Amino acid sequence: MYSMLRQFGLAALLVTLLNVAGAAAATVNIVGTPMASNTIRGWGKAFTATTGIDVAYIEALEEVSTTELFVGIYDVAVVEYPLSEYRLRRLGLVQFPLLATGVAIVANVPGVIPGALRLDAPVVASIYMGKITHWDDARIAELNAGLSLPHLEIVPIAQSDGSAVTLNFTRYLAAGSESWRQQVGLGSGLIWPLGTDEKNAMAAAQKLQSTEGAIGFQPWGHVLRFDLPTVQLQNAQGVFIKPGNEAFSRAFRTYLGQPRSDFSAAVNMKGAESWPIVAVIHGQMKLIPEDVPDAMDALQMLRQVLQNKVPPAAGFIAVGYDDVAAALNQVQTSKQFGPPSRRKGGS
Amino acid sequence: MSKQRYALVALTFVVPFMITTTVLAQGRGRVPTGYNQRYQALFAEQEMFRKRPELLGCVLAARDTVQTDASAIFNKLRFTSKSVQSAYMVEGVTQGKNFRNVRIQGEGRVRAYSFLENWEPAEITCRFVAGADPAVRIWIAE
Repeated sequence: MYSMLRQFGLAALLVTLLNVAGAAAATVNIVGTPMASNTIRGWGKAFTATTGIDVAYIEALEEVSTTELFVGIYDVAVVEYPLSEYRLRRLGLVQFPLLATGVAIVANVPGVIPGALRLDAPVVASIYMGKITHWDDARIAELNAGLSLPHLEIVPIAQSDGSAVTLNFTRYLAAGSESWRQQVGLGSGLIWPLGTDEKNAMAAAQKLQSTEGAIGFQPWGHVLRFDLPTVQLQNAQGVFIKPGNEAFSRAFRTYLGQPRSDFSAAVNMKGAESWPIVAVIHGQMKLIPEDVPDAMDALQMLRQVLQNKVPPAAGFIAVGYDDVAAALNQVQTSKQFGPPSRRKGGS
Repeated sequence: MSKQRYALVALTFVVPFMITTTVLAQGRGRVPTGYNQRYQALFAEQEMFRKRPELLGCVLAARDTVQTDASAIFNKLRFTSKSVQSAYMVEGVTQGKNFRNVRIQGEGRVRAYSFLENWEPAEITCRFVAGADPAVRIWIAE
């Protein structure tokens, strides 16, 4: 009996020591979209190298990320779909833009120099609705005077991947084409009018690379990685813009500078040199964190990487610290308790 | 145990079980179980999580409505794979404010005092205007 008690006591002591050791090794736990994983892991490594504080990034679905942040499993959530003010209020969260990536239109047209082709929203919408079927169609030729276009069938490639890249692409089409807006609408996982779609952007990129006459939309990171031929796209000011970090940055800066409300998207931002389709990734934190020391570490990490301009993964642009400081300062960094409530039924 | 007893046990328990599973596997014999329906609804929600996260705001707002509004026609909602595919969403600006309209088809359990669960096709529309609470309308689809 005595030896059993002693064993039990030793086991309890061991568990306590392990817990103390676990608490001592601080870790910033971040959950979110796979799209941001390379950037956040890179930032985490840079932060760990200078502070010794570990950063873990777990990929999860949108709603799961926010829910797990809300219940206190993670310190920060990184999402592609910003929550509305209504839900932020209900969940007690603060939200801030963190990263952006340009969404490029890719066209694999033999004989045409990459970057030379010009397209606008009505034409791209007509292609995806099956109304324009060949590259030498009069409506495309009208935008590309002087460019020799082949009589080649257009192969529209789309992905239903649930990403903000896809949603913002449909936002651009809906803004430029009333028939798209009415018949198809917006969505990140649409039943595309022509009925074909790839399971994700990676599969679509590979198909775009290998299919002559193909057209598709891709995040800038994939364009760089697969060396895909892009097109010039008409922006809200009617100017044809070549995709690139400068054009994306201009649109992102405009997005950050304007008062944002629910359903704001970095699509058709003002500015003659702005790229028309940019997907913005947001961070979320609890206003009153479950674990205050870890939340403070998370804030320190964001401050450090954004102030030091630690580069994000290829194809992404990071927000400046000044753009998000006001939002991050709302996070309560010490436990504050309200006045003691009066006991019921007595003085 | 004698051979006859083994045969009797097999006939009593094993054979009916095998026939039932075969029929279910072939999809013949409509046996709607609660488990299947729940599974389908969960599967559809997983599809929404994965394929169309932008619809979740409306799904959550509709759930809040049926749970809090005692006069709502339904007291429970569930979604099918058709819900994900047929949902329609559009955005715009009205009187200087952003708005988003979402229409989703699902199924609703009719609020009634009954032992039987009566699920009807439900049409859900959500109108979100920036800065305001969502307006949700739910009714039995025709």
